[in-house]
Amino acid sequence: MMEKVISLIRRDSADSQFETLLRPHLHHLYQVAFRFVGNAADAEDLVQDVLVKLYPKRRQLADIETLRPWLTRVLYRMFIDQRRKMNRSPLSLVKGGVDEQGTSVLDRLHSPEPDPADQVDRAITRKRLQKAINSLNHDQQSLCLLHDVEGYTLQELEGILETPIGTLKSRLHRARARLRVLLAS
Amino acid sequence: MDCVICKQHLDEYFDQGLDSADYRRVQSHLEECAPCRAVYDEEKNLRDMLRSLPVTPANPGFSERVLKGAKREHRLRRGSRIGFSIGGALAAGLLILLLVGKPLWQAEQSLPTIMQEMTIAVNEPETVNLVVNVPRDLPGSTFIISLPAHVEMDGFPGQRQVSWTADLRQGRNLLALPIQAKNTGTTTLTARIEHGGQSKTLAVRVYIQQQITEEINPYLFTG
Repeated sequence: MMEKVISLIRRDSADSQFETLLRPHLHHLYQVAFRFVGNAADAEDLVQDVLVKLYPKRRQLADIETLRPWLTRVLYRMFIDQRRKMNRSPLSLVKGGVDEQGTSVLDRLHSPEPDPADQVDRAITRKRLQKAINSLNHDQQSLCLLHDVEGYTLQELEGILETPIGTLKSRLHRARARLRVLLAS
Repeated sequence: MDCVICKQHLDEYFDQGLDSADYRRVQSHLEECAPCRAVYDEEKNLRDMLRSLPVTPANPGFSERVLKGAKREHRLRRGSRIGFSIGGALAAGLLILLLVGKPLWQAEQSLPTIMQEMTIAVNEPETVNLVVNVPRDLPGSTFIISLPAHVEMDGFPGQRQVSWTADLRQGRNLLALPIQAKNTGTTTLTARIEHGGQSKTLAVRVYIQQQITEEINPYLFTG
């Protein structure tokens, strides 16, 4: 009986620690996930998948020095893995979802035709900017979202994206150049 | 500092990657050079827009949901020999269903691989969105949807199989299947696409559930 009580107590403290460690970062993780997947439903799923993956290792989480960039790296790698699985299969299941701007994740599957209203108004709008970002290649898109949108430094991104800073700088430079071209067209 | 050098340094100027001497030179040039100042303003505008791109807030109860979901999934994986999946954010009130469905057909020489899973609620319309990615145009492709018992496709009541012919265009094509389940259970829907003597099948494991209000006993599965 005492053994069972002790094992329950240990489980409780590990569970509490998991919650205590992760709770402050959950909304940030959701925000980053949203940047990657573009809708609330998939963003929540991605964060859920990360937590399911980390839960068995919850006792080791306390040893990680800077948890937020580390969590972002786990999330990023999970996103890449899931995207690779989707791309490998000629058939895949996509969850639909519409965000508050009325944009569906399914819109990303189609090459967007220029909106006649956009052709009249050449000013940079958020919608055009989001479309331009979506048109970048995957590496440029992830880097642009994490650095220019979410504000991670290149030093942090060297760890998150596991890519040398020199490569990140040139990639970022090309991504911005590409964005300017897309927004000017 | 000339304009060419200034423009080359602009990215690092914004990212605070310049040493203090170069930073001051760029700053000084921008104060004196209107064309470079215009480039700087345009770049700043772009960065401000990037920083202000909106995010749809998470649904209420998000943090509680994902934390509890991780704990629950872990305990059930440790305690159960039956495979299952926690549905994502498709429906509020995540639940676990432990029924195992029978294979749809035993006569097939090779069963299709279960590639995806989804969770739906009984008597609630749901759309299964399949992305078909093809390297070239495939006109006249045949689509065959095999529906398990208790799952119907909207517009085809009582039919276990729905088929039609359509063109697939190079790249990604969306196949949206409106379905509704009539009974709870775990079952499999398959989508088969045929063209020129070749075919590809996707199987979707569907978990059909209803709302369950009581919490799963966290100590049911002990390790």
